[in-house]
Amino acid sequence: MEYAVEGLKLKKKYGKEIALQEIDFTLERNKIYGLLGRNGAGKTTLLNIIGTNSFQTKGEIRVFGEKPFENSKVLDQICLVKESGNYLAHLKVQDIIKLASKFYSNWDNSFKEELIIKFNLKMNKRYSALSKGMKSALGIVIGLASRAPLTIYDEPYLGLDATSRWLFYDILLKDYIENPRTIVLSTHLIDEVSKVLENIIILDEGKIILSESLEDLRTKAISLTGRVDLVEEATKDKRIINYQIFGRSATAAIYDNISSVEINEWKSSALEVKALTLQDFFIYITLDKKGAK
Amino acid sequence: MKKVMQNLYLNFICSKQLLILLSVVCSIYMVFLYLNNIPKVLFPTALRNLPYAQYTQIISMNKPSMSYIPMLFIFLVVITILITLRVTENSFNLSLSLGSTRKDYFYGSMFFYTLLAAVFSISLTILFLVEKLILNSFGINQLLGYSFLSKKVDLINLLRMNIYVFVTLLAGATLIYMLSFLVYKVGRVLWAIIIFGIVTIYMRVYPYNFLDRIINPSKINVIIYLIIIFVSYLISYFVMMKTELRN
Repeated sequence: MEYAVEGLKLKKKYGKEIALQEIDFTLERNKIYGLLGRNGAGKTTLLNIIGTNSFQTKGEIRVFGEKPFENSKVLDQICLVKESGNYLAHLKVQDIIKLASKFYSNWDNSFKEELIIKFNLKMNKRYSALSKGMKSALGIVIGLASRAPLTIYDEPYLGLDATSRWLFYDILLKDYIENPRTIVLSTHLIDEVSKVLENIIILDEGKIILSESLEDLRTKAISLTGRVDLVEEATKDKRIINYQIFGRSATAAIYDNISSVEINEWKSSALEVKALTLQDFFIYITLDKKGAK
Repeated sequence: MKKVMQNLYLNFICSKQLLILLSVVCSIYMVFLYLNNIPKVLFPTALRNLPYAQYTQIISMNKPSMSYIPMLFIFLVVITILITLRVTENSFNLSLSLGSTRKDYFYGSMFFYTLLAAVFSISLTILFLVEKLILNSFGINQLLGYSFLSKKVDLINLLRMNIYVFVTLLAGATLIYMLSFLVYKVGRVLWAIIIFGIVTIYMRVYPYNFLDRIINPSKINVIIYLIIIFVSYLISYFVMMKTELRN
């Protein structure tokens, strides 16, 4: 199977600091991925390597089966929208969009027009005069209109209001269904973005600690609440990622294979079974696990 | 080739604002100089008060001479350097963010600076001829002593002037382009070292008029500038291929 992106023993060092620790990963074609991680986990470093903005210290990266470095054919298929933008302050929005339209071969001009109206972008304003939210909106418009087979958003919605974020998810999903492509979203707004994700990759201190489909995760990540002895009995063979006691009751967050028989048993023994939200799961899995059982 | 042209366009877009601004300021100043000084040359009692009097001479009482084209040449060198300084870092960031290869960006930039130098040098040659026509219509000779034409205005000399201006401007651009990349890779502290180095070398090697030496249209200067262009591009290319994008 040819993947959209394939990383083999990918390592990145900045001086003595290790940003990525020989990670192996794959991104399948035509899926939406969420790249999650705490600050400094190595998300931006990884995305920069995929877009050849940075070089790996060791290992190999392949995009659509080929090495991306100085590969025009591959780079033409990548649209990397960054938090920093990298657009020049003195340029007008229309100049930036015109430039972007020349660089991406799948650029959709009519879709761009539609997005400009929806995100209320002022074409005559200079980039420096845009609010933080409008700068993010510009990045979003470029990413969507590029229709690049690999579209990467690194923290795309800084300063963007809730309505515009909702609009983004809505347009992204509709457009993705009509024009499937690989989309990577790196963000801290985990619960919001979970509505559009199909797979997640969690990076922690330069290592991939989880790469899974959201569908599988929803069946494996649950919380159990009830009497302490019942919770302890139910979770004795399970991987607990968080455990809290409130007087005589306890709540355990589990990440493990769970059968429907087990769930029925727990429910019948007066335990409350709930699916963990992606945000809670992310917090528990990336936290120092000393507090967990 | 398409990607190279896209990068040429990108460099143009990045420099457009500064290019227009500097060209307008320079044009206004040049017009001011001519309007202010043509009457003074015609009535030479006020000659000692002329700004940039070195570009204006009275060869004989009947034949006053002047030319501000050499000064315009110096302005163009400065404009080229300022544009290169401003554009290099920004255009590199933007180009790679938009999915260019480093090589495409490099060739695009090379075309851009070559085109910039060509447009400037051709414009200067045309303005030289315009100046000659205007001055002659006032009964003033065009001063050739400080220009690139030694004795007479003919096609060969005009071509020679054009080539010299082109090579000088391109050398300035490529040198700054290379230095900008070294600074981009190493950090801004390198600018301080470079400026200090240039001042030191200038004080030691060229104790006289530095600019006069730069614009002196000698064959040796042309050869030196061609070497600077080649070496600068070569170093820029290898530095760029190993440069990571700054966020």
